[in-house]
Amino acid sequence: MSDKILYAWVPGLPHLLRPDLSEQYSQLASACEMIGEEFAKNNVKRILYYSTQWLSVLGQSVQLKSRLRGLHVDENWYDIASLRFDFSIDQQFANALIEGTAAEGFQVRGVDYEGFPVDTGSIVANQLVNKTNIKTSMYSCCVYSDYQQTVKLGAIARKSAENLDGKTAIVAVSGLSGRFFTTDIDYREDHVRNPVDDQWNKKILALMAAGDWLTVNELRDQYAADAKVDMGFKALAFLEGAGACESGKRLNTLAYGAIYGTGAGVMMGE
Amino acid sequence: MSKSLDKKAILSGWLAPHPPHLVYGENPPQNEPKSRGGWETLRHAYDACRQHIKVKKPDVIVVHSPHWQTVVGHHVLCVPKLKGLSVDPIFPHLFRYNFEMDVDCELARAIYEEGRSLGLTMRKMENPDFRVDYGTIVTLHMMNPDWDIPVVAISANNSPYFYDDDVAQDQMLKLGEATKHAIRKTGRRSVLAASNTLSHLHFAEEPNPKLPEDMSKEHVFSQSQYEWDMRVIDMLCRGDLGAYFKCLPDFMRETFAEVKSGSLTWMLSAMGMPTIPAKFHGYGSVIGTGNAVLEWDLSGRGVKP
Repeated sequence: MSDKILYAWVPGLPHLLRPDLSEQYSQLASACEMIGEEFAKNNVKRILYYSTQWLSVLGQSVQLKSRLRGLHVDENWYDIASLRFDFSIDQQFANALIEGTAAEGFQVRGVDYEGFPVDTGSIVANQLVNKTNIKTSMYSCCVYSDYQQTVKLGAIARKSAENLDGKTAIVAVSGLSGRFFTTDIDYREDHVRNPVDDQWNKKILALMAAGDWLTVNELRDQYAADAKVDMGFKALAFLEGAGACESGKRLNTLAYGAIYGTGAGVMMGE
Repeated sequence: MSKSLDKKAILSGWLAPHPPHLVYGENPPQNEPKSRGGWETLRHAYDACRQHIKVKKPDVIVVHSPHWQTVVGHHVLCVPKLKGLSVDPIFPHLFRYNFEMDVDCELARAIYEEGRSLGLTMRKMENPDFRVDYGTIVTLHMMNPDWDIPVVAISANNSPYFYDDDVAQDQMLKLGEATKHAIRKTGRRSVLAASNTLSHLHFAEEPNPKLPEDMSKEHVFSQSQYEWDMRVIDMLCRGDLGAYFKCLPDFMRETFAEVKSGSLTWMLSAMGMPTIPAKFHGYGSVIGTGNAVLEWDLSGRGVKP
């Protein structure tokens, strides 16, 4: 067990930055902020985001630009959030991730471009969990890397982090069940669209909080298919590879709710 | 509001794929990365389209893009002027394009209203800071690099990837109807663009990261995928839409065809399901995907390349 790494899982939809829209969003956002407080308390030196909204298709991508600033407008939710962002990238970590990924035989690219469209998930997560401007890093979610390959990528992230001084937080930015409402809704009445999805989400969250990784692994394919889990539950694969799902470890649920019909959980490793 | 009720307000429709490699290979001043060329067969297939637009001088180009993917309904750009730097999140090393476009908001609002009247969930995108997706930009650049004609861009609702193909294609038929009605009501002389690749299975790694335009590495993803593309092109060039729509579910399933996003169905619907033969201008693969430039000239007076 490494005490140099902290783990978390947060949703990445911009509704969380609009707590005025719904009590549920407010609770989810507050839970994310609690995670940020834990990071600060633990003197975390850097945060790595693995967001299932930053997609790559030709191999892996790692953000490499030292300072990323701009204004991001989400392609879906442009009416509720124009997001200012300002990331300070830990280039030593980013280079270690790139070297580690290449060394394991994966094609990988460092991304260092003015105007690069940082994904909504990473921006939302950073605004909520990183209020003290801790340095960050971002690792793409490769569409064609399967679950087991993604476990390997998580392991590369862990190894890279452990070789650096200080503590690193590895944060998966992803949803749970993925069934959005497809028509306009009243945000105050937002709920998980499919009751079966809701049951699935709660079951999996309970297993993760109990540290029952054997059962989680037995059920994950069925859960991913039945509840249309965000990117096939690959966020868990990355965390698993990074060491969050070892015997004796748990992912405790700090908040659970719905964002436009999808399942949203805020979890912190223990 | 309306200029006229010209029934031939839709001048032509184009299957106009959007791999950013095409812009990269052309080296226009708007794109920051520079190349040694590449994908010429496909790029030159757009020459006929560019000439058509210069000759016909349409009022507007209407494009449906699978890379503006929306969850809640169908969205239309509705800001009079949009400009900025569009960096492709997937291919940032190939596509960093300074875009500037005039949007025909009157037509956009009309499409929005007509869609709603047909029972579709529609939204107008009115945020001036919106970053236009690379699918829209690449298709529009390849059709009209001078950007001297207003545009309307329509998002791709992602229902086909969540629900079943029939529901999604049915919605695209309605969206096409809505577009047709809106064009007639506003009297716009329009060119339509379906920003779709055909077969869409592709390489999982860049064949030569040091030289993305290394054409010695470019080839179709598989013989099976290539044969599917040729079969579909043949149907469209014979004007046999019945055969095309009959095989569409198999085509989408077996080749992950990007027409699943609905752009081509939308365009064919807007054009009233034309049985005239599509004119073939070229085919080429980009990282293994199959891309064709096809034209439906509704004016009946084709422009000779």
